[in-house]
This record gives sequence, C-alpha cells and structure tokens, in this order.
Amino acid sequence: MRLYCLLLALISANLVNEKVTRVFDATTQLLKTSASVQIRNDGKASVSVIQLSADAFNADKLIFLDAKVGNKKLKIDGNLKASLSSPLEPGQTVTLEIEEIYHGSVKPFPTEIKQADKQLVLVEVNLYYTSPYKTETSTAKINIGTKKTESLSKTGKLEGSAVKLEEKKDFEGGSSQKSRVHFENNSPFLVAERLEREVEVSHWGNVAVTDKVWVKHTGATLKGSFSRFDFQRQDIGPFITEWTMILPLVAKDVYYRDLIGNISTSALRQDYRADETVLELTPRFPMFGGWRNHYTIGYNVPSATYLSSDASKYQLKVPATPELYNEFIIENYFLKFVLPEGVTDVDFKTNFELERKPDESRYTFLDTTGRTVVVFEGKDVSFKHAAKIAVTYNWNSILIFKEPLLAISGWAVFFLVLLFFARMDYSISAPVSADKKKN
Amino acid sequence: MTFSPYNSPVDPAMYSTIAFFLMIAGLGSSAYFFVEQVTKSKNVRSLSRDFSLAMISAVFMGLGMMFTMLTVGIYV
Repeated sequence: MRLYCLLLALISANLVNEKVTRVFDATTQLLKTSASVQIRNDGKASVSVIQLSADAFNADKLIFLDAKVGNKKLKIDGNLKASLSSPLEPGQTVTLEIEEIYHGSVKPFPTEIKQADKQLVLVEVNLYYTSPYKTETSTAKINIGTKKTESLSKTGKLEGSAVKLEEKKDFEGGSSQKSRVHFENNSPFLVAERLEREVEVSHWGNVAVTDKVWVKHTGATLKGSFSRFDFQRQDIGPFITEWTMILPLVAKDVYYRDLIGNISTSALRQDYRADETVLELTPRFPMFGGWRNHYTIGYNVPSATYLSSDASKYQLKVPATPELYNEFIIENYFLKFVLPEGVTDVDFKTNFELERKPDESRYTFLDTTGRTVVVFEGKDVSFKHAAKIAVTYNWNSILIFKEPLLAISGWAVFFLVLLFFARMDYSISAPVSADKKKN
Repeated sequence: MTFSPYNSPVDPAMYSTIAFFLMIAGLGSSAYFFVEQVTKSKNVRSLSRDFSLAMISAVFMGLGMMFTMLTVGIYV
C-alpha cells in the first residue's frame, strides 16, 4: 500500500495504457508474469521515462522485472522507472513487453499437510493492471496447470487449465482488487537458502570450483511422521526426489559429496549439443515440506575457459552462480576467489548486486606468503540474473618458478643435512694408531 | 587491452609423463647418493662430487614431487 501512494505521487506524465494483456504462470513455485502493454502519450510533451510497477498484492515479492520494446531491453532503475531509447511523441503509442517474476507469491495453503496429502497453493493478483496511469482495456489469465480449483474469486472463470479474469475497461491508475485462486500445485518448491562458491585459480592450468549448497523445501510443511513404506508407493506428490544441475561442458573430476561422504546416486553426462554437462542429482533422502539438505559439488575446469591474460594483467570471467536446478533461487550468496600468491591490484566487475568483503589469506601447498582470497557476499540471486563476475589482477609471470624452486630447495636442504651428518665422525673409541707395535 | 585465453606453461596432458620420468630420475639419483654415502669409506669420497650429486637429486626430486602433485589434482 505504501508503494502505491508513492506510485500515485509520481504521475507526472499524461500516459494512458491503451491495451494491456497479462498472462500469469503459477504452475511452479514462482509466479511469472508476461504482460503486453500498449502505452499512448496523451500529453503535449514527449516522454522518455515510463513508471512501471509490480503487481499491487505481490510488490514485496518481486525478484525480477524486465521490459522490452520490440527486441530491445529497456534500462530500468531501482524505482522501476523504464527509460525509452527514443522518446514517445505526443499521440504516439509504444508497446512494452514486461516480464516479472515473484518469489513467495505462490503460497502453500494449508501450510501444513500430511505425507499423503496433495499440496494446495493460493495465488492472489490484482484484477486491474497495477499502474499509475489510466488504463483503457485490461485482460488477464492465470495458468494454473490443473483443470480444477479449490476456490476461485467471482471475478475469474476457469477455462481449461487457466483462470481467465474479467476484462476491465477504463479504470484509473492505482485501482486494485484482489483476485484469488486456490488450486493444487505439486511442483518442487526448492530454494537454496545458502550457497558458498569458491573458485581457486592455479597458473599451472586449472580453475577448481567448489559449490556448497544448503537447500530447503519451502512448500507446505510435513505434519506428522514420514513413512518410508508409504513413500515407496507414492507416485506423485509435492516431495522432491531429484533435480538437475548444469555444469560447464569442459568440467572434469566432478564430485558430489556431503558430510557423510560421497553420494553415489547421481548421473553425469555431457550434452555436446547444448554445450553443457548435465548432472542429475538424487539426494540421500526425498525432501518434504520444511526439510533441508546440504551437499557439496566440485569440479575442475581448464584455465583457458575462464582465465585470460594480457602481458601481466589477468582476467578471470566466471558465472557467479552455478545453475543449481531449473529456475533456482539463492537467498544468501557467498563467493570466494582464491588467487595465486603474488597477486596485486585486484578489481572486479559484476552484472548484479554484490558486496566485496575484506580480503583473506589462505596457506596451502607450496605457499610462503599466503594466497589472496577475495570475498564477496550477495543476497537473493536467481536464475534470471544470469549473474556473471569478472575479476582482474596483476601477476608477474616469473613467479611461476617460485613453486618448483621451493620444492627443489626443500629437497636440497634435506640432502645437504644428510651429507653433513654422513661426514661427521661417530666413533667412540680412539682411532687405531698407525704405530701399532709390531710383535 | 586484448585478453587471450591463459594456458599453462606446460601442457597439462603431459603432467603425468613428465612426473613419471622426473621421479624415476630423482629416486634413482637419490638412491645412488644414499648408497654412496653409506658404503664408501671417508677418504675416497670427495665433497664436490657428493655436493653435485645431492643437488642433482634435489632438482629431480623437487620437480618430480611438484609435477606429481599437479598430476593427482593438487594444482599448486
């Protein structure tokens, strides 16, 4: 509601939404919106900034918003103001294709279910198109994936596996009316509560990536006990038994383990057509509502894939998040780069919000001064961000000899000590004198 | 600034072969050095020969150890 008043106060341009068509997708744990908005400039001045807004009843759950005109993406700032590439002249119209994703809008209701129950979810959206401007026509459809609903607002009608909301005409900016659908949704409600990613760079030709993942099933929590016997006879339900993680095509030495040890229930294959490695993970136990799991995935990648150099300047370009599973959501994100010894002038560039923390130091094999560890922290990173990070640093290439020289000098000390002790005199009796009396 | 993909100074596919031969040379020369130290009597040994043999063994063992680490996946 507070966001609403802010929107109303920002009406400075005389724009009108001529035609709005919205399609909601509520078949997974995320509420995805795809809207086509035709905007007309009814004012006397040309307009180059359009105020967009998230759905009135889901505004705080917005994790992604994107607007396109034709094929060109518009720049959107923190207040959801979209900047047009060419200003909209008075009397002209422009069609925006807006994509939004909300996390937490598909709410499990009831919030606790028994093992054999199916999961029902509640979705509430604004019947009117949420906008500070007047709208002439607005239609909306919610895809729910099932042909029946538990309950439905009077303003909606079930057609096939979608709910068609009433068409609304000529309403003012800021109009809102809740439309709700209560239906069955057994799709996996998997959220990565925490991801710790570590990228270790070696100038001997390897980048080692380790991903520690903490996941949680955020659907309706399981009430009562879990029966393995009943579970073995269950075909469909809101539980999660497996998911697929995508790794780079050139990834090798992949491991999947947790605190207990290696987890063998997985399948790894290379998909040359899609240019990726597919890892199908089956955790040790199925996940029901409220259950958590923790595992580590690690792999090696040849340095040429991510690391590039120009004289003594190096650039490491890495996808900031792994593709944990289809449409992944990460709540707390931690990233560490372990750079070789002797690295200076570390800098970075990202395409998403990331906070750099103070550097740390790590001592590992053949280290003397410690490796620089660059630490980052982020929040709420999702698949839509396509998060990438590029770290640049300077490194003198003569330092490649430091490690072999350290190993050689270690062995040299060993041999010299041996040589020294071999030449010492250990006899305890006086040496046999040369002038032994000849008998 | 044009960046080009960074490759290791030594081809990683060769790491196991290089490690193998370096370790053979290293262990061989180390063994020769040890045996010489324990069998030969003091007056026959010369410091310069012992020292150079020790250094050769150190070089081969050091490099062999490092390439062995690279072969098994400890990318130092």
